Amino acid sequence: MDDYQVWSLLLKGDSEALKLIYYRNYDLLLNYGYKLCRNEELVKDCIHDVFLKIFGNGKLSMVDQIRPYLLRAVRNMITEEMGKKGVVNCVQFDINVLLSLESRSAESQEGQDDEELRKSHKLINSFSKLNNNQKQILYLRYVKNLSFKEVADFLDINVQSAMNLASRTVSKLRNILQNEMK
Amino acid sequence: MQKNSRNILNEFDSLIRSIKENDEVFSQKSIDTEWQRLYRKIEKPKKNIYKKLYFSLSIAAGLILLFAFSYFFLIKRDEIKRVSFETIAESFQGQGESTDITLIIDGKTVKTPKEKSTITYSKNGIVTVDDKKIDTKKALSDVIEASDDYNCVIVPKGKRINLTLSDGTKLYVNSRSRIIYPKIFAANVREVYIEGEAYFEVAHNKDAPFVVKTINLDVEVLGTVFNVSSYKELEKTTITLVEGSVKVTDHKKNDVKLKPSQSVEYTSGKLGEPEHIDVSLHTDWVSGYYIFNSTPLQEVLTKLSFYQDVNFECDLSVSNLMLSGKLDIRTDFDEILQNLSETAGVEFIPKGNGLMLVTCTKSASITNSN
Repeated sequence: MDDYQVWSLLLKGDSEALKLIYYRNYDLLLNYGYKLCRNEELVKDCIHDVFLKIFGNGKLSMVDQIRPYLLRAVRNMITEEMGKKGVVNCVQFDINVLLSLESRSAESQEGQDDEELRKSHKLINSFSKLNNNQKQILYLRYVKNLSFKEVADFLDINVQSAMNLASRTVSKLRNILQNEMK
Repeated sequence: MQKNSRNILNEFDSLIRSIKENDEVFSQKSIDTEWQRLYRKIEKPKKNIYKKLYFSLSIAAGLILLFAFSYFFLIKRDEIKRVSFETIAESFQGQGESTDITLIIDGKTVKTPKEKSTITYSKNGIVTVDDKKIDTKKALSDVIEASDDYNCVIVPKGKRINLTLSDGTKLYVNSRSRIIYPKIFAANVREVYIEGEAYFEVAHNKDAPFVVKTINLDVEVLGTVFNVSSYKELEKTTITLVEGSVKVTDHKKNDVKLKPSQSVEYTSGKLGEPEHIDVSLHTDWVSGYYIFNSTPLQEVLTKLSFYQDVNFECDLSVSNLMLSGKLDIRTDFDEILQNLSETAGVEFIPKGNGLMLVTCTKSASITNSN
């Protein structure tokens, strides 16, 4: 069943449809959420709140694309919740896609030799030099494999701009990496 | 230059790969648990008015709403668990007045008039009652409530059941009992709720401790054989361990660890010390005998009243007579009374409406037994 069909069922109040959407997008939403905020409880609760909202909302209409819609909803919910709590347990209000990578790669360091480690550190440093939109587009397009149409919808730009942004980001990254290698 | 650009390409791939590896991978179990958590927060308005269940469950719905709100606003997880189990128990309350063994599953009620029944849950969710399969698939348009996630078996007076749960745990449930358990056990803990009495043979699963919750105590086990007795009328809860190991906790977080052949009693708000006892004293009811040792007559009779539709009222002169003995519950009730009458020197006077007066025999002097 494709996304369009599942969403139509959801509009009719079918909880099995909600379950399907939940299972299909759990990985994406949770991993994305963790990049915004390191507080696991907060992220999980925000995702639940989003799902409760869409399930209980009688005015819900047909949506072009589910994934960007959900990502935006989760991002907004997390932003709101972080705002309420101040910044306890979460890093800055800015969306830094990669901060969790820095803390987690420390864990995966066992079993890697020095060369590998230095390499991945360099890569991570390069990545963190990008700005918010650049980081997000790389993550969503190349790591999570969203289509350009979906990424454009999420960033609220048109598809052509999304493609341009992606290629500009890759060039920028290339420059940064070249500089690193010198 | 070419080599350089190929290197850059590799670097880009490595970067993407590292980010991918950095993402968390969620097991099916953890998603299931999170979904269950979400699902319980969903309330579906009742649309199908034709079903008779709507009327009998409308009171239950109010209680479930209470459950949903307390779920949202209570902070301590432990407290949430305690409220939800008791509220769920209450939501099954209205269905308890039948004299037949009743199984409530997916909002449906299944009854059997037999005196002893066997209910089995297979690993893949097939439920059979006395070898007859129960259809548990519900149509999506049916009412969905939090209590649908829990099944409930009600064992009335004079009846008993053998219940096998989906993880292989076997329960022998005594009369006047109610047992509530989730349709699907959670991945990291198996919880059941009981009022009354049951004998457990818990299937071993080191990833998921088995917890039996009663109104006053929690019993946590890991692959074990034990007995739980929690009847309101007896005003005490007794946990007896046959094999394995259990940890018994009360609401105030006092806990006691039991070793095999030990028993602990909770009474008047206090959790006692473990005592070594003859386990058959507390577990022979499973094979049909009721054994008592220096037990006041009042208590013996209260327990007997669980097996028959009789209520006993004891004269002060006899209620504290201490008795020791063994009764075969399956024999004729009148014979049992006769037996008691002769041994204890008491007389049973029927007063109509299932009430039986117990007083000392007019003739002869009373000799306190044992």
